[in-house]
Amino acid sequence: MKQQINYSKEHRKFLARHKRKTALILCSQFGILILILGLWELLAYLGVINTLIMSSPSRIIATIGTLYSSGDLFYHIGITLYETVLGFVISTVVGCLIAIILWWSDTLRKILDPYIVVLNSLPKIALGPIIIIWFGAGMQSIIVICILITIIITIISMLNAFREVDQEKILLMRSMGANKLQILLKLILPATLPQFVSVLKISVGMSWVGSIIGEYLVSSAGLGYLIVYGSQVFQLDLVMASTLILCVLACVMYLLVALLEKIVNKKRGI
Amino acid sequence: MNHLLELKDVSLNYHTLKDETKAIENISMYVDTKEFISIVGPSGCGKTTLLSIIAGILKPSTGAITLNSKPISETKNKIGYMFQRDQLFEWRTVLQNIKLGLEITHNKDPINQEYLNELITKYGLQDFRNKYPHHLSGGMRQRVALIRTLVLRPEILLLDEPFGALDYQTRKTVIQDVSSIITREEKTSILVTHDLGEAVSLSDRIIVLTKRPSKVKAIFKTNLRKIPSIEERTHTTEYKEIVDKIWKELGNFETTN
Repeated sequence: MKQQINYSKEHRKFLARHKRKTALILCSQFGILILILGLWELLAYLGVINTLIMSSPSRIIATIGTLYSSGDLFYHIGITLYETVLGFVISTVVGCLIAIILWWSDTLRKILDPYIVVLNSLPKIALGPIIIIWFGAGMQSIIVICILITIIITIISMLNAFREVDQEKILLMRSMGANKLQILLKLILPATLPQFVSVLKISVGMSWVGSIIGEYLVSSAGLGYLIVYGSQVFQLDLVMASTLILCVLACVMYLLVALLEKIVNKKRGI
Repeated sequence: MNHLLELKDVSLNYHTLKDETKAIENISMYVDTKEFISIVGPSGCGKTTLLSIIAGILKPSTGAITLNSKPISETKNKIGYMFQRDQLFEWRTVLQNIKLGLEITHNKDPINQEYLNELITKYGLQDFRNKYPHHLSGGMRQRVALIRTLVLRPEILLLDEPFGALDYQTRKTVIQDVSSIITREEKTSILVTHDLGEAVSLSDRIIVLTKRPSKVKAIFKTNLRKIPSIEERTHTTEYKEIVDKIWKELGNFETTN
């Protein structure tokens, strides 16, 4: 949308100032990153810091290069991504279904309330050993841990969102003769779509926590495994490289959810 | 003689673990076709509760409510509701909001579609039909909310302080707007309000309720609806007299209790 308007001198000044400020912020953001990396590299090169403990940017890149050429890079990424995405999708779908059931039956919600409170306050990772015994020392256990960590927050947040929908809107629908299913489909679900997307933003992060911790506990592949393995054999380059990749992947997944949020809002004309 | 809506000795008790409260006690009243009735009373006297009973959403403890001589529970979709906030669905366009009732009743009858289109054209919404509610002014939103209920051809409109959330200027225009549409569509309406002026200027009859447990304290009749302009109605002596009388009725009540 280009507007051909003759702005006043004052407004042009304001725009220029705004532009300068935005540029300054962006430059500083990149500047800090480059400065840290540069300093790190320089100190490592000069031997001021021990690269065995601290690694260095060039060594991290070299490690990623080696992983790539050996074909291990995408193998480990694939494994962790698979666990995370599967855990994320299952906990979102099942979590929402449970939230719907609890919204539907007030009695059931009251019955299960203490259990949800306990599950929510319990550090889920404490269940790790039990899960490994039950589901075996493999990927299933990791996915279960991932789901366990993610699902409770989905259930609680969505149930709260459902229950906060304006009672008058429900009254309105009932006065039009709507049954409970219609209230759910035409009011509750569309009304809580924004909250749903916010929950996605949180649970996508939780899924990463779940899968990485799961890999710490029991795994033979994946980024979490690389990090643990790297630390055990004192290969800090591998630890740092895996962490960096993890960082990028988690960011990308978060940005995808944020993009979804934008699309949802745009579709609603907000 | 049969009235459109009739309440006979309706009482409602609220139950809490601590005790039982009488919200409404032996209210009997009637509403005739095309009448505009206002219910006023001290705050917290159960006006909204009474509306919920008429809408069939709350069941009275005792008493009977009939619409067209049939118990209210057997009549479906005969009640249209309007609230203080318009309660439009933000994710639906104006047209989709208006269609909500027909979607719920699965009514794809072309006659209803035609009626919907007719209402949209008649009340100047055709240019807004694909807009979302947040593009509309407060007054326009209430108009959409009214049309949304009218589409289902309700026998009775229940108006629960529908002008309460609007600012003074908008309020005046919206009251005139809603009142004109109701008169033009020949709808029977029950308005709940704590604004005596609003009640008197809009109604054929005003029912004054007592404090909780609410009973009918007095009923006032007006002939003001013959005057089309609500502004003009408020300048008549009749208006002033009735407002005065209700004031005294309510004031009298406050001092004796």
